[in-house]
Amino acid sequence: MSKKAQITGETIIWVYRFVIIGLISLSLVIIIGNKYAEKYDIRPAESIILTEKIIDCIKNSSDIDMNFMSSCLNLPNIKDYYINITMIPDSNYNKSVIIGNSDLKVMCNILNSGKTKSAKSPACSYSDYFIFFDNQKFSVKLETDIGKYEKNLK
Amino acid sequence: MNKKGAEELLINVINITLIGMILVIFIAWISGLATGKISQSEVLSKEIALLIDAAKPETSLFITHDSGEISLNSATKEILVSIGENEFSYDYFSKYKVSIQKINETSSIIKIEQ
Repeated sequence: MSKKAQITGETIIWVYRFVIIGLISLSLVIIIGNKYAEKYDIRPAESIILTEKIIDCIKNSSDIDMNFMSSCLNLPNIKDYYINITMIPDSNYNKSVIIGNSDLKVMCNILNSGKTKSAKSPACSYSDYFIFFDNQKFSVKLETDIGKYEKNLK
Repeated sequence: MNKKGAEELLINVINITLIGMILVIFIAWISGLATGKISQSEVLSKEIALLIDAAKPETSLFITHDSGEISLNSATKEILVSIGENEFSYDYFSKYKVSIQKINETSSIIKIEQ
């Protein structure tokens, strides 16, 4: 084998080695990085705390409306939340208060229908409570949806 | 050792050194990820935010941490944790007055008042 052919052959082998090492390294970085890039999603815990705050607000007021709930909860970034409070007493009358970003409700409805899956999905929480107020029993249905995608999802 | 043998030895040494370097970088990187050093600031800020949210007025939270600094922005309602180069902030929604008092390098008291 000539000297020139030997050098060319060795160069090809070196390039081949670098490509192989590069590919293995890249795939390891992608696989491991992807695994550890997942953030801790604390929105379900936040949702439970927020629900308790809402109940506290309702318990302390004879009448609830959007302004009262907004000032009582005093949420910092309202676009990250969707809250739907429906109070149903024993009579036929019922009252609903909605505050926050209604896009989150739309997203939750779509996700709950199971028609689609999204990487950026809100944390949707539904709960039912009974509150006794002025000798009247109220059934309270709560929907609390939290966005906060950037801080909780990768 | 003849010239060809010396060349092959050199190539092998370079190869092993290269692979060894990559391996060391990987181990250091994975170790950092696995021991949670990178996500420590995220976990701490989120834990503190949840504690603040759940706390009733006139509560004092005594926070101890290995390293880093905890600060609070009451205007934007954000808790910021800096550990080395890693910074993470998370917002809380408590309607009460929240303040932080630094005791020493590794501990702080967060007060929630009416």
